[in-house]
Amino acid sequence: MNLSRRTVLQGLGAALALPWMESLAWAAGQEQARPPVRWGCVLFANGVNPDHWWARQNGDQLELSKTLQPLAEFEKQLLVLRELHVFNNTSGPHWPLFTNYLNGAPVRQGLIPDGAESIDQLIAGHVGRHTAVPSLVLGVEPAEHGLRGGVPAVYYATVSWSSKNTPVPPEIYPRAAFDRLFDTTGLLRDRSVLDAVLEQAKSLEGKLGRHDRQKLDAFMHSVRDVEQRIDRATREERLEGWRPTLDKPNIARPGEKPPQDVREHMRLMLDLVLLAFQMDKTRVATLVLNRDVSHMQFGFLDGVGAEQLHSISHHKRKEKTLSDYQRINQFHVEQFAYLLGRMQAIDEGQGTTLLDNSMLMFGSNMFDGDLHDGRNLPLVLAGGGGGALRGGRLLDFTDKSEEEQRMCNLHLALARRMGVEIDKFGDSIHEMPGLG
Amino acid sequence: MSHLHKPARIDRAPLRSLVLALAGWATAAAVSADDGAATVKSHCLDCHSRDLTEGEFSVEPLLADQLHTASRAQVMEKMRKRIAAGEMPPEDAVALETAERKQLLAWLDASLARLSEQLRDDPGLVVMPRLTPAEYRNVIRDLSGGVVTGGGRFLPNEGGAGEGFSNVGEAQGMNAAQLEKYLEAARDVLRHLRVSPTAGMVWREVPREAVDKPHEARFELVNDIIAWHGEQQIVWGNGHLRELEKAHGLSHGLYLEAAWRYRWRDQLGLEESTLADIACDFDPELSPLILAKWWDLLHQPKPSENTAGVIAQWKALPEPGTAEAADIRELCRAIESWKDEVDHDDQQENPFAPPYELSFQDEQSRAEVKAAAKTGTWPFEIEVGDAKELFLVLTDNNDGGSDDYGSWHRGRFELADGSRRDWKELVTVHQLDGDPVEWGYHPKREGRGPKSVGAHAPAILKFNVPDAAVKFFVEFFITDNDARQSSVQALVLREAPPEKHRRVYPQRFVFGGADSRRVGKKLASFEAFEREIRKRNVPSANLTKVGLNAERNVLFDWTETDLHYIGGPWNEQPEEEPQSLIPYYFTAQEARRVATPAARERLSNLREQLAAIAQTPHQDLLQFAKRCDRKTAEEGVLPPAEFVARLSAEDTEAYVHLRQQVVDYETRLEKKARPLLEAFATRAWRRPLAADELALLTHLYRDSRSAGFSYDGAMKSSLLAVLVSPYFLYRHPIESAKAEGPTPLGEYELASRLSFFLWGSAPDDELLRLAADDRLHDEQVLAGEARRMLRDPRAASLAREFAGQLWRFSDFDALTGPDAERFAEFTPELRRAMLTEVEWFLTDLFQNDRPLTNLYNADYTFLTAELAGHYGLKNEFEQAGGEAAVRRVALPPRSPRGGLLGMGLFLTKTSLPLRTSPVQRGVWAMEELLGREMPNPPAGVPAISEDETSDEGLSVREQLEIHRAKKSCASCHDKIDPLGIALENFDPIGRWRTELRSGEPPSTSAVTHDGAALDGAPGLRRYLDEHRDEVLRHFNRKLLGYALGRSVGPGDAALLNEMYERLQTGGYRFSSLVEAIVLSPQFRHRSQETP
Repeated sequence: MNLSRRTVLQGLGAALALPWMESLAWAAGQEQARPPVRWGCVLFANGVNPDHWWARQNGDQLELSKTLQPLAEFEKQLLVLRELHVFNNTSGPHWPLFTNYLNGAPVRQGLIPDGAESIDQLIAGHVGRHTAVPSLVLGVEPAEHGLRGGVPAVYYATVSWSSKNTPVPPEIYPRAAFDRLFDTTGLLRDRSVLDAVLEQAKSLEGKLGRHDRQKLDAFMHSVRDVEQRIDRATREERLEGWRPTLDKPNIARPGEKPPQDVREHMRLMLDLVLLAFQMDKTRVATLVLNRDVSHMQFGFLDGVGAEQLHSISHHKRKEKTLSDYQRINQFHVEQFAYLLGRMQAIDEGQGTTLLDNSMLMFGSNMFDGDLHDGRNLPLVLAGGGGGALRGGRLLDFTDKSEEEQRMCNLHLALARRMGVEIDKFGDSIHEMPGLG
Repeated sequence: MSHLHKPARIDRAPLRSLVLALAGWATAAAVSADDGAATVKSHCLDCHSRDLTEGEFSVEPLLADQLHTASRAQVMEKMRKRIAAGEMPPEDAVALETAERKQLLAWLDASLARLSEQLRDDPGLVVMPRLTPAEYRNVIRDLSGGVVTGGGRFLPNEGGAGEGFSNVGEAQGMNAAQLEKYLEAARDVLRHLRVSPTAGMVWREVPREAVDKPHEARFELVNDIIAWHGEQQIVWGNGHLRELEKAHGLSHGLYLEAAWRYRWRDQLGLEESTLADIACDFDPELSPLILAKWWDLLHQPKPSENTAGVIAQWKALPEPGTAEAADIRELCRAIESWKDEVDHDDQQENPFAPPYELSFQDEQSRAEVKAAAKTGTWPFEIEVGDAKELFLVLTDNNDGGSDDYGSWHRGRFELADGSRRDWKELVTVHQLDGDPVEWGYHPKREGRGPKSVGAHAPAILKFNVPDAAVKFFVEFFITDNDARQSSVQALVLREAPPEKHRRVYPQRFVFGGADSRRVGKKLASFEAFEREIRKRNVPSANLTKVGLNAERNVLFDWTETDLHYIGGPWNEQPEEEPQSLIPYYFTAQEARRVATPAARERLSNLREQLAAIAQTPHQDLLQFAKRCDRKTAEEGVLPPAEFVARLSAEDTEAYVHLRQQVVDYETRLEKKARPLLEAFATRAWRRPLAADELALLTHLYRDSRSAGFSYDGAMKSSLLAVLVSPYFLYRHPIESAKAEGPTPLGEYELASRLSFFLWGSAPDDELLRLAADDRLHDEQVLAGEARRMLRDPRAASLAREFAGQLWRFSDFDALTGPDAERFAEFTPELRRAMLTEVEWFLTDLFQNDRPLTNLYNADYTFLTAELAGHYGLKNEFEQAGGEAAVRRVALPPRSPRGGLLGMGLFLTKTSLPLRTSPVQRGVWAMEELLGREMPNPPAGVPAISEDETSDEGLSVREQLEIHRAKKSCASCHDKIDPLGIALENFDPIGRWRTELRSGEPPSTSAVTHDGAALDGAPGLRRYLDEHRDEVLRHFNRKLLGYALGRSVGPGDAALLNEMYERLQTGGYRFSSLVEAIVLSPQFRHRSQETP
């Protein structure tokens, strides 16, 4: 025990001298000389103005609705999907329509969180071992405390689940996300501290009853996960093959508190996703721009009033409210367009951009927020997926069978393109065809 | 009380329970089990089957006898509630006949009675809870002796379960992301701690940088020592003079007068007196040292231009005995008038624009300063206010440099409409004397572009403020070269600076630094050290010349041994001439001489700490290794074997000796570390440590030491392991380990359960002591402790955590609900005051044992002046008297306030951005006070307007009436709306109102679904009082759920009844509830089994 820990601690000096090494390391030892594929999901809750979210296929042209206009310049990198559903949604309250967005599982009301592992976490479990951080789970609007509507309030804030019983609370502090990605000082000490903690946990284990032991198991599992992450982040390997185009963060470490201005906060989170992808610190990122039953206000948009987004989404077809709703939807689209623009500007060699090497889901968990309509999810897929996706098209599932309309088919398809070898995910029947 | 002595039931076999339950149904209500089950089968099963779990609810397992006793009871309780309320079966299903319904309810009642008797006082399944963010914060506060109050502030909000609280272990998750949050939180906490071999563990409010390397730890102490000297200079240079000024109306003059007395001591009959005697006798406040320095100054052979005048005036003072000498004090005062020119302590508020809050303790601004320094661009921002002109001031820091330049560029105005305009479009910049300055001008070189103006310090530029400008932004630019060669101050002011501050503006940031350069040059070998000091931004050394002086003095004063500690030795430097006219600047030795005993002790404490981590044996070994050609040697890390193998015999001997010194040193040091670790872990883990547990922590410390960590850094490895340990993060079983069925809690477990219930924090020393003495199982002792703990300030956690989660005001501090334009009065301060009112009211209620009926009916509340104004209770606030910011205010008779209902927090929380929401207020009263559950609203309900009046011109009340006319809406809204309507006299931010925005008076009368006529808040209060059993039983249930960390079940019925009875007989006192809970078997047992 002592020897290994000491060795680890002594390695500290060497690691500090080359803070950027670890970011270059992953390519080594792997056959790939090509840039890796990144998976992302940018989600905003509370649905869309149903009149202004659509796309039409005109020959090989994609005609986009007003709300989707900001994405027009990325048309060739864009697949608009229509009539996909999460069939395990139940109508009525909000949470069963949101937190299962990425796992497609029925959400049950009960004492213990009850869902299923989400696709982002599943992918992270496979490709995450190549990067310093397995996945980013980010948010802008914090979860509330305690229970809401009979379920933990975190159901309204996250779509990421690391296991059946464990929703992942999104990181809303830009600084914490930044540090987790880029700060390797102290990691080696953490490693030896965690060794000791694991020993403590082991000696506690024998003293516990059944249920307590389950809790401790989850704890020990988490300790091991973090240890592995530290090992990855501090490992030094020979540099060969594909390398990220950036060695060091090109933005300053964010302040301790998140920006007061929602716009800045969102922008910062998008920048972090971009940076993490660019530096290959992670290949999986989920960002929730605003949570379900959102209290976010958008008074900074021209002509939009002080109401909270959730109120606005219940527009009752009132003209002014519908127009505010559309403006806010479009604002969210603009955020996504910003990300795409930045990604397109990053050359990853071999004639590809970061956007070419990514696949990003973007949309909302309902169609018309007023109706709590969880069918026909507003959804676009952007990026080239490393050659796996062919954009500029509308994929319309309107006339397909219920099985063909399942979101999990898409999750399965993207996961497989990320190199995850599974045949089924959630209620999928097969991999969604026609993406490439 | 009778049940308290019964052992908890441990008969948990589901099958047997079922048999008993079946027997119970048959006898208790003359309803056969078959009848009940048959009714359920025919009326419920269609929708609530296993396949068709409508509403996530199935009766199939119940009918198939597949449930544990507890689940069975839960299912039946749920059915009973819905059926009794008439919600089930729903309208579109086959209705129950009256007799059938009655029979079914009787069957359910009888079964439930039987089940709850069977489950009576069962501890229930309580899985070890993880600390919630609030508990984490409280525990850290207590561990740090109250110093660190923001522990765990970045932990994600916790979900809830059970009765709605976040302390339910069963529902708490853990994954890698969460664990990393705890790691980060622990690191953050430890940044507030310094561990030293002499001073032990010292917590501080302001976090520090990590000092993991031995030399970093020493630098830190050196910084502190320098800062100490800086403080002394400020104390004597400013504080002392201000004191004299306050007491006598003059300061320097007193010294002049004392010096005059010494000069004429023979004439004054003071022949025997020394200079020091004179100082002390004349005025005990005077410093003999300063007087001595004055004396030297007054007698210096070659006075400077500045001092010559003062000296001449002093020399010209009249002899004692002459007529003029009667006015000697006034004459001295007259001489003192020069002080205006050199006074560095101008307290007068000047309207300046700080580029940032320049406190270097603050990480944020530190980062900004760093960033700005890197680019040479310093952003300024100033509120224009009513200023007609703005002034851009550049001082030369009055340090003799003449090569001081800087430029202002990228000026922008923010106009009232929020737009921004370039300054070049709006203003012309002038010199102070009125000459216009050309855009792009720079006195030395090419300017910063056509929108900038340059200046040669000292210089003041000005321009007229354009109409409609509210803010001005500008960047001050100083080239790297200029910054290195000169030092300037840049300020943006709303008025011209006074003449005396045009060369140096006291206490303001200095850009660049001639002084630092000079010091650096003189002490060439100090360069690295100097850089280190600079980097660390010792505040006093940066902000004032006094501080710089102190820094220099300390460096000069360093003895060779001291320097050795911090990585020297360096050549000693001669002491410098005092830099200023004023004899209040001390050398390091002088500062120590004049310091107060307390300050001296602080200094010697710092020096001791420094000596204790000097690690001389390590440094000797290091020097040795370096001499033996081992360039990469690191302090504290023993050289590897191959190094030793190569040594000559002579060197080996030396090495063995040196190594032994190191080992001895480490042994001594570890002796100090171990008890600190043990004490800390005992408190943190809430129990004594086993020997191997302490050994593990000590190992970790030792390993870190061998890896070259500082003492502080090595201790923190172990402390980190304490704070990320499952023993810390989980309220883990201690004595009753491996319990499956109901098992009595051990002493330490009981101590924790008690303290987390009442304090939301860890047990204190007294509780741990009682646990160690095996005393807590004594009911008298336990009840006594509960009483003691309720009186302790930490019991405020009941208001914050228990009530905060119960009534959901924990996140009120971040609420931004009310429309910012319409309700500009809803400031963050007001919001805070509203939260304070609730927290203080409840804390007072719980701690001072007031009747719980005060929850809805009280004749007092707790207000700040601001909130009193908001409520229209200014006079009452004044009458409450005292100076306190928050006062207990007696409400006038017939006040609409009193109790939670009249509090701004709840009234605001239940409103929409533009209007009140009678629905939300009604739901709040209904669910959260009366504890009546409401079903979720169906999808697609028609909306009520966002503002007070709909597009059709209908008021909210009218819209609600239309709403209720629909039968599907009426079933709930008939119950909800009246309660909310009664509060319509309170506006969306809780103010009293007599008219709506339409000018109409709000209508506040309504009839509840059960026929009570409410008129306004008093009516609602009466209604609640009539239903006080519901209010109190709801409260009891929640309190029990919080105390136990699980949902309350049928087995708790007896305890709930006892709690309610105790309330009734005990004048509704809170303490009677607490006592009933802590003495209950539920509270004192645990179980890992579902009964």
